Amino acid sequence: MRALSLVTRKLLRALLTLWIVVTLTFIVLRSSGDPAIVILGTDATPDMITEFRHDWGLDQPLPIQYATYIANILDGDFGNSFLDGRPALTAVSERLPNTLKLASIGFALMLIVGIPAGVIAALNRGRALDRLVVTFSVLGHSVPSFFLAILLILLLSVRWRLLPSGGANTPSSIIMPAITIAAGGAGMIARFTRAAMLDALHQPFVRAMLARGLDWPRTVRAHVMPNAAIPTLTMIGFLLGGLVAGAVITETVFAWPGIGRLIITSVARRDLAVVQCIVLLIATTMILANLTVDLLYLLLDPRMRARDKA
Amino acid sequence: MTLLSLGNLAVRFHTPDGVVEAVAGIDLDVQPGEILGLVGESGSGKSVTCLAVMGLLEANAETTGDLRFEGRPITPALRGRSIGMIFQEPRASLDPVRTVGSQLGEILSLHRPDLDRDSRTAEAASLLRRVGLPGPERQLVAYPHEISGGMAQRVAIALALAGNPKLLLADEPTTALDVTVQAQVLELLVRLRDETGMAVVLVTHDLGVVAQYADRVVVMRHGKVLERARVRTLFATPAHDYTRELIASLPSTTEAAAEVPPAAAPLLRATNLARHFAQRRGFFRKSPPLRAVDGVSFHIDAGETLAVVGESGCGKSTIAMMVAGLLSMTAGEITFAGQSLGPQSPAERRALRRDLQIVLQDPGEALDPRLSVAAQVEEPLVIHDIGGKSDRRETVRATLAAVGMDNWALDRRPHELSGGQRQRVSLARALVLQPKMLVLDEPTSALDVSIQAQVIALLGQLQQARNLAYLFISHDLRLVSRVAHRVAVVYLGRIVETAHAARLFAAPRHPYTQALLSAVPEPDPARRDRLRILLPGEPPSPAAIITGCRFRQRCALAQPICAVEDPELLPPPDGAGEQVACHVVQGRA
Repeated sequence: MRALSLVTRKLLRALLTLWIVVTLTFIVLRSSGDPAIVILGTDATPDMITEFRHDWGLDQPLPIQYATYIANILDGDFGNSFLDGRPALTAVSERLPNTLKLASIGFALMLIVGIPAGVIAALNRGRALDRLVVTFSVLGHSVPSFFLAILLILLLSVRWRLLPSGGANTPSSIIMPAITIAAGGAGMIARFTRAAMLDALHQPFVRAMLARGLDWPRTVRAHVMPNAAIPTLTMIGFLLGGLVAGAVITETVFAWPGIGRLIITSVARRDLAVVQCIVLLIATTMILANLTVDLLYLLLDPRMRARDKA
Repeated sequence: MTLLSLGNLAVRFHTPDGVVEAVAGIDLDVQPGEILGLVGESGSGKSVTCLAVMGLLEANAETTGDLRFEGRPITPALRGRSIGMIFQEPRASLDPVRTVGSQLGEILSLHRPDLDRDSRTAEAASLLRRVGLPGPERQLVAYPHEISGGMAQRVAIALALAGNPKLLLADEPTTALDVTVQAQVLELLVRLRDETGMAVVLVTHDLGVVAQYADRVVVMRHGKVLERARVRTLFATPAHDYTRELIASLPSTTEAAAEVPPAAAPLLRATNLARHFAQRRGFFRKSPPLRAVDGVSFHIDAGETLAVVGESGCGKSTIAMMVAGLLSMTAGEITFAGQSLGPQSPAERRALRRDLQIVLQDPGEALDPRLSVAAQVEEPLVIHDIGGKSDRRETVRATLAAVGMDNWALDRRPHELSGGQRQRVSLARALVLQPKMLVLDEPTSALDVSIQAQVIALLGQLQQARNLAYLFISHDLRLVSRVAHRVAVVYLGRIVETAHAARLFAAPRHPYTQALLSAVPEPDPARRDRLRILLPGEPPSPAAIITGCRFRQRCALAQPICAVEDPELLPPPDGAGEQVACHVVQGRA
């Protein structure tokens, strides 16, 4: 009962955040200049501007515009692209599966590489293996993704001709973009996992467990790792939230037909409806990632449950 | 047969700064069923010795010597089975994300593979019952953060008992606990020893604990054994100078307390002081406030020491913070030198601060690690804009000299100083403005006994020389008996008794004071058999709402009236200059 109401409360909070984002998006887009002039250009005639405004409902008072905007969003109507007149949602949802595919494979790669690397480094602290992991993780998150992308293209596509340099035409096309997305995150996760493991390893209960007769592998598995998981989760949550937004550069470099590229072209062409739709989408993924982390916290850390109960 | 024998045990740590010898070739033996007190100050090697026996030292430690258990060399396989161990921070020795039951179950499945799931749970509950936890079934599903330190130590003992050890290494098992809880835990260890014949090595810095509970004592210092003797012999005729000093530096509540200075006009008067903390600012519900301090009144005369004593969570530090002006009051009034310490202008507040300074518990944390000693002691002068540069330097030197620090310290940073030196520097920083009163919040509890004695002596000299008033906050009754002129005993945010120190220690009136005093381990084995009042349970949370007297649920004298009426702090029928809040003592029940 209690756990349920706790989850409900978190959900409500997430919805509240989403509403704030939606409203802020409205305010920012309305206050950043007259879209009619932006779209039509400064040499448009006053008649053209009036007509454009009327067509897009921009001549209504702001509260009405806001109400219409919210009602439309609840209806799943994010407006039509100013440029080709198609619903913005259609434009975005055509591209979304590609981005989700890339983001989820990249994310999985981050976890699969980052977590074990961090654990291994912590358990071998100060030895060669540890230094190797630390070096690679620093490299991973300090090399900019566009640089890594170009490097991969040069080596794997241009020189060795192993993988296609862009597009999404073959199953192997996703390999390089996924590596590019994963590299920075994997480095951060490895470092964070390592630090969290070291912290947990130095907790007094580790020594106490050994004193009670538990062996080392069991102590690490059953006590150190679950405790280290808690701070690591925070980091992973941040990365998860930033995945879609972070795909923009990678998608552009690899000509990956996802929303990352869509947002670049839409921003360049001042296609407000599409931009708005993508901003909301990215905000939603961040909020969802936060919510997931919050709920996982409750699962992993009994102290969190207690704090929220009180 | 000797249970544990250590022959020429040496432990060296290989550090980047070179090799540190923590234990320098000691011989030690433990006989079956005995309680061996292993005492020494920090750095004496006593904990390292235990960890070496368990094979639990860090990787950079090198252990040599002949370590035998029942005549055979010690192996890691003995851990948790023949030899159990409990630690100083009981809660930290439990995994915070697993329930008590799951941790007990895990250890039981290790030592008792014959048990199935249900009988493991039953066995876990019975272990908890053996260590005296109320409602064992309920405790099994509790997480470590949901139980108190004392309960956590009982759980840790239960975990150690799961393997049926013949020897229990108890490394400062009660240092982190309140004195009444300490008494409960130590009595439990003695009882378990009596029931199972398990030997206990009681590692402690506290000679009082040793005097009250050990059969035999080994005194360590700088990694060497200085002296070993039966407990009564050790206290009656200590053979080594260091032991003599250690015993002498330890105050006892039976000592004559300080002379009371002739009463002057009160320098500070607190009236109905209260501080409540909001518990949760959530939007959905509001909990009752946590009443950390709930209506306390006291006064301090010039040149006088008032000690406020109580167990953790009683509100004594909150009182200190309010008097020092670091925490606002929810209600009440404090007047200092005739002026009210209410909300004032920043300038007024600053002027008052000059006369009323605070010294905090942990000098390591209270000092800025980046500033030199001279800069830190000078800072108050700069803030109050006193004197020119060279005057200030002279004042800093003189103040440091007054606390026994020479010019060597001026350019040092806190990490280059020992704990005692750091506390002297904090004291100098408080004294540099020539205040009339110091609030001392547990000023010596982070220090070793011998250093503690030096700091206490210094405080006495300074008081004499400068007619300083002290508000001395402490949990340590033995210490208080040595420094205080008057004592106020605090329980759950209220003063339950105030009296002159000598009176209070000789004949406490309030049942809580009586229990508190009887729980204090006196450094005198001859007083082992005195009546010890073991309070049931632990102090309730200050968030709990208790009608009537707050102590009644743990009080042996509780009467029907105690549940209804909150006793006022009043002079007892036959006492002058003292007050007690108890219906029974007041003759009203």
